Amino acid sequence: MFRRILSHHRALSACAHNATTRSLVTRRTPNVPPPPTFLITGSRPVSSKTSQSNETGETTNKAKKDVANVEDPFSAPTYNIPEKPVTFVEGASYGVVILAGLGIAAAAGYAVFKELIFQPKEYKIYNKALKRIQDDGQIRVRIGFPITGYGQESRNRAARQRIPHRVWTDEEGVEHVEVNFYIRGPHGHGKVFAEMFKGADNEWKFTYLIVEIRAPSTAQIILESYIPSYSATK
Amino acid sequence: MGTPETSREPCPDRILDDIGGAFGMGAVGGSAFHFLKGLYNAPRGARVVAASQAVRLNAPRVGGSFAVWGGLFSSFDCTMVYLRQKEDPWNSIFAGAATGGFLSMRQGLPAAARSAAFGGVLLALIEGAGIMLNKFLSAQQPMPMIVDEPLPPNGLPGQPVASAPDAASQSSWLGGWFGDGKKDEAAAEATGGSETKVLESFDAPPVPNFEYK
Repeated sequence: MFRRILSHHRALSACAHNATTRSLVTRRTPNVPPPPTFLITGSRPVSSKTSQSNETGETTNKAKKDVANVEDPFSAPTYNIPEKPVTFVEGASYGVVILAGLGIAAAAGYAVFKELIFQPKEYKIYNKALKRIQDDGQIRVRIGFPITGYGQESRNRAARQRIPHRVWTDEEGVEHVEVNFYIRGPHGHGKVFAEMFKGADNEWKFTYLIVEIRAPSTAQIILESYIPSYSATK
Repeated sequence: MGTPETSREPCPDRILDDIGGAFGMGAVGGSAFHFLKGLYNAPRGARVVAASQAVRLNAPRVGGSFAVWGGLFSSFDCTMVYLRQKEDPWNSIFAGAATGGFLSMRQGLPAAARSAAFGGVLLALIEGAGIMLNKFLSAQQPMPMIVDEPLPPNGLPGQPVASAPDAASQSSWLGGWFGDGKKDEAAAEATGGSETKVLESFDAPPVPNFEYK
């Protein structure tokens, strides 16, 4: 009911708009021809009679007013729109905004990839230790060749991908990273304890790398153990 | 092998688990979303009926889409685990990129490449947020780190002591093994002393027994 009434109102308003536009058109069309006809008729009565010339003067005044009213709405909106300077300024500002946005996106991407993905210390140590274990024959004999490494014994993907680690600095300012992770092969599985420190030549070196094999038989294997160089003169 | 230890490997069975979990997430999330959307778009007086109808129409479709995505993602993740023989965040990033590209393959290679890049970036952000959250949670416990700092100097004097008899005695095998044992015992004692203060997720290395096999 309300919808139908609203639609009727819209139709009535549309008819009203059409009527107003038609009335405007009808008003505009007779205004254009009258001036030349009046001028032509005005010239003849001036040469013949004085009373007719006065009447034609009044009509010409009215025609001038109508012409002035007609010209204003046509000229005003067309001549007041400048295009080129505004377009150039807007384009420049948009370019600056786009460059700023791209800069922010690049900075965010750089921070994400550099700080969080490429350089976590625990994953670096984990990769080195796992490669050392996969290439070793003692471990390969016991648990088989394709050796998989994962962080925690769980079915959750995030838990398996997270490596338990601890980072500490000793009294000489050397940075140490300890990691624990699990390894699994076709014939058995085990747990790995590894610690590395950053040496004087800025390279990571093993402090210890202990593999505790739990299946198929229990065993402990020390693959790496750091012994500092000793000189009697110091 | 039929032992329960080897059946702990999650990868072939995890695909089915992830399909079910993804369908559940999609169905529940889609139900909530389309219920609210139906409430908003319905005329007054018929909101509940229209909302329930929208849920019944759209929730299974959203659940199905999530299940397809989750199943493909888990399959690619297991493939990456098998190929690389290690588990780290890169597996998830590659799996996300592969899933996005695979689902857009029928729209042409440019669209597939774009979807793969978008999937990879999305998973990279998710993994980055996870690692940042993990660092933030571990940083909230500074006390064990402060307590652990004085203990390593106790281990450091053990190293020269271990190396000195090694150089002095010059015994080829037993002396070297015994020296290693001393150093490891010192390190184990140092870390063993702080065992009660270390985080639960981190285990101190065990004292090695010398059963050479």
